[in-house]
Amino acid sequence: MSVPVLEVCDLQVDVPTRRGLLHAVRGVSFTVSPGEALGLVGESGCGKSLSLRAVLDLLPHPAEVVGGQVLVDGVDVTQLDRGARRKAISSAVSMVFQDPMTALNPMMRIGQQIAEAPQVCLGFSRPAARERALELMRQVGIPDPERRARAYPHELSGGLRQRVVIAIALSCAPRLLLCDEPTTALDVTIQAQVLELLRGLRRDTDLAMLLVTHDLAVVSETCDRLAVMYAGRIVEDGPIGQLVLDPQHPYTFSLLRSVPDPELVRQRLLTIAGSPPDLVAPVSGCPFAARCPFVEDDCTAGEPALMDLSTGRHSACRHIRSAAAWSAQVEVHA
Amino acid sequence: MSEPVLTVRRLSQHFPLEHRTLDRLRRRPRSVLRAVDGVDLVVGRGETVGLVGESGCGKSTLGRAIVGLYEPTAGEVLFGTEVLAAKRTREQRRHVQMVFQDPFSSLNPRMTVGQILRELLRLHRMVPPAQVDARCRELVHLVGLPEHALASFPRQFSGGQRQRIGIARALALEPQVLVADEPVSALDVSVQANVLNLLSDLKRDLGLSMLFVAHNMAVVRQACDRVSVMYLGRIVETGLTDELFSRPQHPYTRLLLASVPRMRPGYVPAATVKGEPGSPIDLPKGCRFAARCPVVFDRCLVDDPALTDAGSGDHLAACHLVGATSGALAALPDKDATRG
Repeated sequence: MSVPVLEVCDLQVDVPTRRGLLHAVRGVSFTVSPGEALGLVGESGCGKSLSLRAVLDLLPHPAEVVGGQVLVDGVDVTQLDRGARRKAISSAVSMVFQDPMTALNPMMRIGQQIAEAPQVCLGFSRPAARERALELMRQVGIPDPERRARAYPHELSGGLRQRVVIAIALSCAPRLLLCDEPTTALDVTIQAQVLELLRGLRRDTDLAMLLVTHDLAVVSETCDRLAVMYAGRIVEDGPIGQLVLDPQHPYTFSLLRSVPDPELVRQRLLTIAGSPPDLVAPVSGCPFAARCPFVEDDCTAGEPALMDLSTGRHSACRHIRSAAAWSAQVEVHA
Repeated sequence: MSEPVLTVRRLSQHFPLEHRTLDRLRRRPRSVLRAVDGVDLVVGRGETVGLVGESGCGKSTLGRAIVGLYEPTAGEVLFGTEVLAAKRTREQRRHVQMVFQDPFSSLNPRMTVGQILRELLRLHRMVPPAQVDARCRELVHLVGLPEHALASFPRQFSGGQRQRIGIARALALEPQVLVADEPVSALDVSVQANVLNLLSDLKRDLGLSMLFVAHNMAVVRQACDRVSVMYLGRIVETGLTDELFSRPQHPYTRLLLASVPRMRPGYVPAATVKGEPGSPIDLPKGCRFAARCPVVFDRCLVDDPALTDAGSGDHLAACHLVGATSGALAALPDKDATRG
């Protein structure tokens, strides 16, 4: 296999709070190979966005990487100094932000904003960067690019703004696109258009993608592999088709069963009782044990590590059963 | 359908915009934003009616107008057979209550849950003064919160719990109809399920009728008996939930359903709606969806279609092609069509 575009090993992120250190990301590892799309899902506060931002060296103050490695093209960027690190990251990776209104500069015409990175990072001349911007705008499907290049962000609709953000992300020809909830702020029909655009980009350019979202359906339409995060750790990962049809961790199972499905009406949605553990206090035992409908006595003894299953799948549950068995058990309790 | 408990007749809610100096000098009239433009809607007793559409289609405005937060430009809202005037009496306000979208900004941060509920119960004289505290405890139990919640402030709760408080507040006035404006869209998925289940329990146990405003089609399918789809201030299609989801008639509904992401790996939507919703300020003369419609023809540009019969179970759609023998509609993606 070729060198992964991105390899994250045992990443740890701490956030100092008034109550003490919050261990927001506790040893997360994943790889993204060229051309591959990995989805990272979980509830708010599970550490998925922080993991993404740690990769880009864009952690919000006062969060800090306290351990682990981030390898971009096989080079450990955590060992480089700040300038070299940014250079190494930006040459291969770029990011699509969630809210296009805050990601764009409100005082700058969008053509200029798209042309900025090629000028600064790739040394394009002004006319060449302008041409590049128009080309990118056509690529992401912005109608009438010559006229739109002179518009300010507030003059565009939400869908067009998100296309501009994607154009900026593509401007330095990255090989990996990090997307943080790229469609959460958009309407369904516009979301479908943006997802179509992302799929098209992957089809045409062999772009790798890391998609962070809370929407399982969006991931299952866009990604090849899925990693489910809970309480600062990955609790299950594997190929998306197998994971959705046959989850091997009770959290994944519960998450899948608690989302209404547009194609299927259930008598009742499965709910996950309680809330995730407080990550200021040390975690003992399985972090999901307190909310798990299938908890057993030994679940509270030591935190289970991610274990190898067949065919590239991993799960951090000691009591894996088939989804059918889990379903049956839930139905009995209901 | 059971007897109607809430009826909306030809309701319009227009918002005049600022009269710009340039327009005034040119003697142009002030422009008007037509958020809701002649909507009919009926909610039967014990029924949950879903109202879906994209942002800006007027679904929230309609919900707020029904609760009486706006004074309608035209049309009327009836509770049973009683017309609810723009200025409602306290008793009329009790009948129709609202659950707001954002559980963070819709609760007073400086009042405890107990104070919020007690204020309402006293003001509306819902129970004798001596029983106010007991009723408060009953209300928090009803929405599945512990009794000590009464002494806490909203900030001490999670999003899902706050939404429960919002529901308890609406229920304090013993309403017949609950208007829920995107009650779960600000919540995490696992918490969404909790609140959806709670709403369905309350509907069953208290015999509530509900107008459920949402943009998430999957949530609507789960929660509602009937669904109305809105586009630019109008209802373009309405019908029983199963009927509408399995046999959508209006081109907009079809494309909307096709756009919903599926939990099916490898699924690629057959088609997406092109373009973006128009502006409710400059409405087109003909059909409002014409600019984005894949099967548009000359009549659509001049003639505004009315809701017409489109199938069984009060299924109505506002499209010239509905019921027509031409095969134009058949060319549209069926909701189950898949590719790749």
